[in-house]
Amino acid sequence: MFGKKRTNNKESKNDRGPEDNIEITGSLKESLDILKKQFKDCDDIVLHDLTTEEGVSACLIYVEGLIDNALVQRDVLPVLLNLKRKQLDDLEEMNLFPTINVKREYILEKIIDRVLKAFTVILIDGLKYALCFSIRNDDTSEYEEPEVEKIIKGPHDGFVEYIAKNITLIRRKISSAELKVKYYTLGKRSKAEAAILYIEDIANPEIVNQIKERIKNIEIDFVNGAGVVDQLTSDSPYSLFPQYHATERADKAVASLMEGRVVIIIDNTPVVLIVPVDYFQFFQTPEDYNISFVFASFLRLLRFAGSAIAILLPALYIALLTYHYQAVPLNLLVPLAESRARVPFPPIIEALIMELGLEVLREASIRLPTGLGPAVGIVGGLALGQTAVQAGLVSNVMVVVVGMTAIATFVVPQQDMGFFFRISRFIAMINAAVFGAVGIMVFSLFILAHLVTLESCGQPYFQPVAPFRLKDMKDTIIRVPMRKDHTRPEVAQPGDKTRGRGNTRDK
Amino acid sequence: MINKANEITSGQAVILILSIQIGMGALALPSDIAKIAGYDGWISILIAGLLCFLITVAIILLCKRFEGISILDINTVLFGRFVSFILNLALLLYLVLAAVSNLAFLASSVGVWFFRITPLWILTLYISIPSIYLAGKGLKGICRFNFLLVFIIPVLLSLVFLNIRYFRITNLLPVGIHGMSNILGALPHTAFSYLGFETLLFSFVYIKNKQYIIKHTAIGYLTVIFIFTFFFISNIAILGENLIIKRIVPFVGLARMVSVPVLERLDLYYLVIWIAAMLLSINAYMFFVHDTAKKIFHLKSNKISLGIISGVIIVLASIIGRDSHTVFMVNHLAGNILLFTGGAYPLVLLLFAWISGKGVKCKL
Repeated sequence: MFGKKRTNNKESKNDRGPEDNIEITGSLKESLDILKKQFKDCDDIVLHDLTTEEGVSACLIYVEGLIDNALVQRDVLPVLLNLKRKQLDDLEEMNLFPTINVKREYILEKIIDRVLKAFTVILIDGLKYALCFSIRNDDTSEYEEPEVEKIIKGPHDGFVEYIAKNITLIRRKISSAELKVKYYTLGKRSKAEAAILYIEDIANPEIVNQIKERIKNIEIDFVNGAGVVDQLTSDSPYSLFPQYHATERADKAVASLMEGRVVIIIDNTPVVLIVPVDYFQFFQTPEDYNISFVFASFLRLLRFAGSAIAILLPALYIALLTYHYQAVPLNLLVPLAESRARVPFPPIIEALIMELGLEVLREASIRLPTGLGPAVGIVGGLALGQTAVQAGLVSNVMVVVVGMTAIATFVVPQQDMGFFFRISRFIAMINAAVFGAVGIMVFSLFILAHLVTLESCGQPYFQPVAPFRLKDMKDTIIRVPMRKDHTRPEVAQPGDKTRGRGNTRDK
Repeated sequence: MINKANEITSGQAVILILSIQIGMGALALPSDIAKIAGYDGWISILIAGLLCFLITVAIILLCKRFEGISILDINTVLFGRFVSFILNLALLLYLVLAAVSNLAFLASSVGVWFFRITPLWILTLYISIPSIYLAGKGLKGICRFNFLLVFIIPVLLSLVFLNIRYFRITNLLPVGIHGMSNILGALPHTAFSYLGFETLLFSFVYIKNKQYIIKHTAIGYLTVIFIFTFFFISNIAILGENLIIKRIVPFVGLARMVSVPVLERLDLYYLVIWIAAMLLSINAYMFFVHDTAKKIFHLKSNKISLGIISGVIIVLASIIGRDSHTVFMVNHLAGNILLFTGGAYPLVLLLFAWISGKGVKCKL
């Protein structure tokens, strides 16, 4: 009795859905009904109805972008359209197609797999199997690693300007019918295509619908990139924090989809948007998951430390020199006083001169041609800095502070978050100049107050710290070993909460 | 229909209470108690903790009896429109007093510690910016913010460990020498430190999962009693009873004694962190004042009402905070009134509800 029960359980675990092991009956309509149900909301999967010269109905099924359209049109379609009714009953006759790697599939589940694995599938009315041709489009040369989001270990492909190619790139990485693609048109005049991607059994339907509504509600003449969608649809448009994760990395988008998040792709831009987001996500890179958890945790801590330095170091310098010089260790106070002795300005002016100079330098080096950028950096950074110290405009220590701050800003992997650091640094400096350490504290508390009240698609932005979720802390400030991380983060309220058992040997 | 921005969990409601208790209470606790009960004050802390827990349970019983309505509406149900309006006004005044006395204490402390010549109203205004912002955003945001407490408690405890070499257990012996009358006499002062539990009267209506509230409250009280007792005992053991009595805020004394390599004047950093801790209670009271005023006077516009209310609180706090004598006087007055509001008032209400048979039957 018990044995039977156990087998039943096993069976139910392996049960993947009602369409499993359904053989096609030969009725095209029946098969298409099931396939259409499976491919519901997959706008990138094409079911193309055809009729042969003798009036036999057929259907061509493929994923847009994954197959080579020209080859299908040249080698498959002419033979298909010329098929005679009597040929259908003869298996040998079906080998007429001048392509290699033709498979016959009798089970619907297999057919779905073939479609998702870049096969061109033909269903013919009256035929009890499907013909699957491997005419793939394997050209991936366009997908280059984005310049601004480089990593060392991991996949090096990035998005391109063309929306269909971007969706194809994601489809290549997730061969599942659960990956849904919904197309929209943005811009009253530009009519640019946009697509919302999500994995149906992971993503929370409420959040998905909310995002669909927001995209539908955009009313503008033309959309000049992903940033426009971000600004028009974010929860708190006046916040300095990025509320969408903009990325050009395909692996980042795929990982986000797997966490139940939604990816928005817009035509004519390589930048895709990920939503909902949390604060800590901006400190993670795909590389973190390709290296040991010890190094990954170390890198994350380094990034958090870097962000604290990027915002607060100049403010701390100002506060210590203006109000709390007694807190500086004596051995450091003497050289500090010596270097400041010739400087005629109070610390805040000194810091503002240097920080503004740095920002101007950075902006200038972006606009300059590639060859000239580093030259200006050297002239600005080394020559100007050194001479400014010699001329007595700023102190030595200030140059060190500014240099460290600038470098620390680059530690954060996401540029939008970097913008926040650059702006807030100035606000922190002014607070420190007026209220010293108290100013830094009140400023930090205000930022924290803003962070904990901010939401991304109705989900708390500062989770899993506030509200506290211990389970999600395992992949936030540090990362636990992959074998211990079996659950998806709660930020997107995923429907399927477990990723899998990791290594079954451990159990 | 409860505004989603105010919806909290029972755990958050307890964290909110803890943050008020520890943020404000822990600071002056040792010297206040030691003045009356000497080094035996830790016994008062334990007894007062237990009493306050019982009162909190009474508050929960009261609020559960009137499921889904706020304390202001409970007053209306029990006493009718006219009397309840006066009672609600009194509650509002009490909340204003709590907010003002806390803010005045914080502002005057910052003035004394850091900015002796800066006009107090500027400090008061500046310090309360995060609280005003949070009060406008709703209770949920405040509870999330006050979770900061979890990171502040280790700071408090680290201060003890950094001074561990001065730790003399003999400072606490022999136990009970100050007599039971003194130990019991210190109870009201000890209870001041536990104040904050009465906010449950106002926050209960916003709690989503009310079934866990008793359990979470018990855990919360165990935590706060442990922290207070530990802090008191270590203060006495490190500084000694005589020194503690002379100091207004022994925390500062402890911080000044610490010396570590590289970082000089560590007390500065501790004081700055403690500003954050004190701000936690102001956040909570600022919200409850605003929320209660909105309900009593049926105010619609969030921004204008918040502006007026925070303006009033800041003006009062900067008037009171000008000299420390007034601050302590108001603090003690507030403490007494708060004890009545927090302690006696819910008990009276509960009794009245029982006798009159009003409200639904309560289930625990």
